Amino acid sequence: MNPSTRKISRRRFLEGSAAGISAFSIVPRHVLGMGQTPPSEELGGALIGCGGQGPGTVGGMGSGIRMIAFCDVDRRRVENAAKRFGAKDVYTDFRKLLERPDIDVVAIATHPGWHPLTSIAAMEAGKDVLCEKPMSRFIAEGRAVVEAAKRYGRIFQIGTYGRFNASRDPKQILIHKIMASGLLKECQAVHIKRGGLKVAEWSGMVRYEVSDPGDREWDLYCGPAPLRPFHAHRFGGTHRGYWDYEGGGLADMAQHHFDPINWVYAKDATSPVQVEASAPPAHPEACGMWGWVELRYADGLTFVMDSDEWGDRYDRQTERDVRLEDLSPIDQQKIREMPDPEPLVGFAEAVKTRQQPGGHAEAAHRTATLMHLANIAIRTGRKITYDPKKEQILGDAEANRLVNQPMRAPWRVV
Amino acid sequence: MLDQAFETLKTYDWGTDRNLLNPIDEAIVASQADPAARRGLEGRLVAVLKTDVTRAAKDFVCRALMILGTADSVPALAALLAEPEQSHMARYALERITAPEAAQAMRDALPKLDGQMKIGVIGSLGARRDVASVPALAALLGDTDTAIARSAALALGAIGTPAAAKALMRTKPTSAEAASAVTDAALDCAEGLLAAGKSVEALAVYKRFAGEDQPKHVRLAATRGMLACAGK
Repeated sequence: MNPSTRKISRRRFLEGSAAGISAFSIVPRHVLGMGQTPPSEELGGALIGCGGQGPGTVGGMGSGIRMIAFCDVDRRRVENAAKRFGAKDVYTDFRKLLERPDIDVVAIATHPGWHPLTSIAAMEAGKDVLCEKPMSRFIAEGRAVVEAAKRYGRIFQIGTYGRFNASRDPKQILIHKIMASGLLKECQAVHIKRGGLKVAEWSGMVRYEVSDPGDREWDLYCGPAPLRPFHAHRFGGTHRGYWDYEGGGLADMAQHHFDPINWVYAKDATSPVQVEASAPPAHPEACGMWGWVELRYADGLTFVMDSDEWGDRYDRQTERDVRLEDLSPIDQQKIREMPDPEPLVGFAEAVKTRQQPGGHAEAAHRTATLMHLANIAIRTGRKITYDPKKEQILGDAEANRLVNQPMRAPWRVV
Repeated sequence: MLDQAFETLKTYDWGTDRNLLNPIDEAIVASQADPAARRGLEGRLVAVLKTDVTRAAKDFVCRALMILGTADSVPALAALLAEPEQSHMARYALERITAPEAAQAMRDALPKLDGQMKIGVIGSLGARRDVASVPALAALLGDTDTAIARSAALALGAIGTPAAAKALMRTKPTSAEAASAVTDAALDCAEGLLAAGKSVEALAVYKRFAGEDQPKHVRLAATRGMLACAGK
């Protein structure tokens, strides 16, 4: 099966029919009146993953949601979170929570190894999802989230919001219009993100001691990842340093940084074709140090992640924006006459109107793919060539093994 | 250094210093462009797998074989599929070894496994989109173990051939949990069929799930699918 053809097909029928279906099933809010949310409109909300960003992720869902159920593998954490929101219903197994018909929307803030599985399960159960970043642990599972959202017409929004600000900035809107227009055939732009990627913070920290998990559901926490004995270092924020659960500083921060940039450069539906990294040999289990990663799109647009924490600074190219002058005078005029893009829709509004939210699944997946490709280039130490339609690495079977990783039974997404 | 690391691997266990195995990791990286060195390393790792080493040591070897394993690794990995503590890590390597021998080994193991080990192998065959396993997976749709029936359905959905779709349409799930998996798998199948230009087969699947007896979001998915089949 060629994933690319399936993807195109689904997009086509969504464009062709989803708006039509939703138009007949939603009562406009102006009919009901704005302001306070009427009780009949209030949605039942739940949170899966109550540590770290969990309670904050709930805030991203917006108004009109009554939080009624909470889930975490750590009983103390889940009880504290429920108490904070004045709720009583707590779970340690998300599958039980998702069986409830009174839950409409789910915020997901587990460790990233669980993001796709819980997102897909929630959408299969008819819930809308706000998922904390990073969206996924590897490329194929991100695609599975996109397919589930499309299949069931569910709202999926990634928990990072920089693109909403970018979409209101006149300078960024101009770049977006130039890139979205398709008039620029060869893009000379280079976007460099220097620093702020927490590389050392989540590097080189494989701890091999074994300790008691206490009352934590350790097996469930590991979920699809290989099961090995508990150590506190693998739990909580420090889990980020292990490939089994996340992807280091890149996975922690790159979705924040590049999600708005992907919108600005109209790359929400594609991925780079070449990726090259400057990094020492990577440890097979622990995320390590790296210098920079260069990601080049088919049209020439280049994104650079420069850690500024290891090796020499990236100096192959200098930063450069897309400019109106990059186009012919005729095309410049077309851009001037082009309407601004529609404002991006937030999660709560998307849930109510069934419009696509600003940080929808495909966009989130394409941003997550940037960091996954970067990590694959770092881990293999080789320049990789990527097919953005098939979502496969070309000519490098070993690197391609990292695109889709096996999951521990009974978990699976693809 | 490398020899010492392989010696350490014989007694390595969780809780002891993982860094002592680093020379093996480094040799794997260093041999990326040296097929002969890779084969040598693979042989040494497979040899460890055949001995009575700890679960931690086998875990280490399977992780390495996920990266560099070939058909030569398959017999030793397949031998672990029926060991509860090792089965997942065996699949961890087997699922990503592209050689057809890896899929064959998992198909062969399927009738001999039960519980989570069987579910895991079913999932791996689905992830590989292994068309040859459709008959075996179809036979598992009626398994009395709901989790196995559910996994078989999802794997057939991922494989997405007309034969897989037929099997999913014919089955009569015995539990709500299995039924939801069959629904999702059938819709997955239909999307694949439609993308492959088999709109008649896809439409048959969508019609099956468009009725009032289905949850709203499933009816929505089926309706969208039918519209897509009609080219709308």
